Amino acid sequence: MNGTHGHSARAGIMAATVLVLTTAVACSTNKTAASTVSAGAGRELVGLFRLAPGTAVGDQLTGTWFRMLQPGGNPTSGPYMRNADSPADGGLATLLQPGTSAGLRTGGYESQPTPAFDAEGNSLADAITTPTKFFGVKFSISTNKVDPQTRTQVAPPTVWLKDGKLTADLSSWAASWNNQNFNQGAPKPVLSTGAKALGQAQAERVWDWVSQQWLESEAKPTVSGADATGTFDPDTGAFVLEWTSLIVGGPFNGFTGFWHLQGVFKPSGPAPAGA
Amino acid sequence: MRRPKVPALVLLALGVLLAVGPIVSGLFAKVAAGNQMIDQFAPYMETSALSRYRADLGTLQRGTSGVDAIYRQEDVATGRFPLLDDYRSQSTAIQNRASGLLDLVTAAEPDYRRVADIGGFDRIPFLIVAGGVVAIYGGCMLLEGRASRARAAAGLLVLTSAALVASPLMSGLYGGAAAGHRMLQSLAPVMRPGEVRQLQSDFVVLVEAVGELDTSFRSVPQHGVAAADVAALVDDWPLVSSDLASLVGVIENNIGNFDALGNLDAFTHALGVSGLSAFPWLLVGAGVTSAGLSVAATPRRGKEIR
Repeated sequence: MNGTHGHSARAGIMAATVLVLTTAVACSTNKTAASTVSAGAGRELVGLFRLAPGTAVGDQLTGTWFRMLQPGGNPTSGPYMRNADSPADGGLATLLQPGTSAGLRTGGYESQPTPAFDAEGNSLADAITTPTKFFGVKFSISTNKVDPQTRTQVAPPTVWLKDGKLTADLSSWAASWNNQNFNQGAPKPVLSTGAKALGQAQAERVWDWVSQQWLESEAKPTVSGADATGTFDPDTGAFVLEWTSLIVGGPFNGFTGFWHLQGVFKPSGPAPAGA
Repeated sequence: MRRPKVPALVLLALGVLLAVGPIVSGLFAKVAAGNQMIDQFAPYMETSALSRYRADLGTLQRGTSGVDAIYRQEDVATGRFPLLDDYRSQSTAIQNRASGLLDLVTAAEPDYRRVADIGGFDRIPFLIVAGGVVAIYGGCMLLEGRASRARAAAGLLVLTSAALVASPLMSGLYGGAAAGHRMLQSLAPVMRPGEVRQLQSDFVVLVEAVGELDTSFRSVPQHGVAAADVAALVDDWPLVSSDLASLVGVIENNIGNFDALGNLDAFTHALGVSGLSAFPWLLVGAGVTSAGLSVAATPRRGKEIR
């Protein structure tokens, strides 16, 4: 009997050893490095960034507007896409009008409605900006807890003031057009749409929790790249925020949005949840 | 009891190979990528969607002919509508590319359908790893376990092997994997970054031209069939552009998935066979070998050789 028990014990240990080694080899191929993007310090401005309507005199633009840079171009010289529906700068810029909430609220989200589009693909998001024609179809802006394109959970719009300069996390800034969503934020959310094996997402969440709890690893970054930047006049509340945002994936992969928000900041509470 | 050690050791080695191989070779990721591609293409492979794309192309072709006719009828000077001029100079090539894309997608549809019909494609790596774990356990038991446990392990191994052998048949992998190979070959010309950039470029030329049609070109007198065709293009443009944008978008978003599946297909390239076509036979081979080894390694009556 002892002999047979000895056989079983040795067999069990052997099987366990092979499995542990097997798992260790497999897991060692999946290590990833983590880093985080730190936010700039300063006073947080919570409230409504009331947008001034875009206007154009010749090629001089004021207020709130947007340009779309073609792949390989640069913000100074273009080439920009020419929106035939826009009179501004020969169509090279598209002027934006404030939406029903008059602009961008920080500290909360102004999410896409459901449905997000009408039957012709026009965006129905009208809180931040009024849906505006872009190549025959209206586009607009929303800020969402889970970005509609990248499927990544992102922070609400957050703006800091330091030494008269603004820095902003606008990673949730999402443009919707023609039944398509394009993250146009700064910094950019990392993509969460990659293919995953069955159970991989759950396993990753468990591993992230374990590594943060027990191995003192930092949380994986959910955004990358530069913040939006701008200026602020503390006396009048006048602000300008600008950024560029590369489109990653989808029909306009490689194009870049150039955003210019201008207006007056009104301090107040954050955007209501789920607005 | 006599314990044949060589088959048990080979079984152990096979188990390690089956348990580790799919993980180290990235099989999970490749199969998941293929699965995602199949899922994301689903709305674009519907018969109704393909018919709609064909109708979109017809609208575009008639609209383009209408614009050409109006240019001739009204003697529109070159340079007056630069975006339309740009489109007209490339319209034949743009329409040929769009038509070629649609032909490729349409031709790939039957094979796509067979791949989509594979049941539990993304579970196959789990089955292989499970087969490997059982083979490791069985190998160890057959080498060192009590005779009764060794026989039970051999029985479990035979069952697992049967699952490996049966899975391609049950899941439709035999036909589906070969169809996957053909689908990859059919879509290869379009699932490339350069091709997507060309489609994007065509799309930009097209949207800018239609934008001009919908605005400044309205000042040109238009009548008859040509006017109706141009008006139809402008009216239908939101739907046409949505279809085009969506199709280009899904192609762009799945180039990585396509490459991953292609990588799986190229796995046995050195042997001169398609990896996808060979995939079900590898499962059968692993199952048969595992079953054979477990039977060969089962303890037999007689003096144990140590």
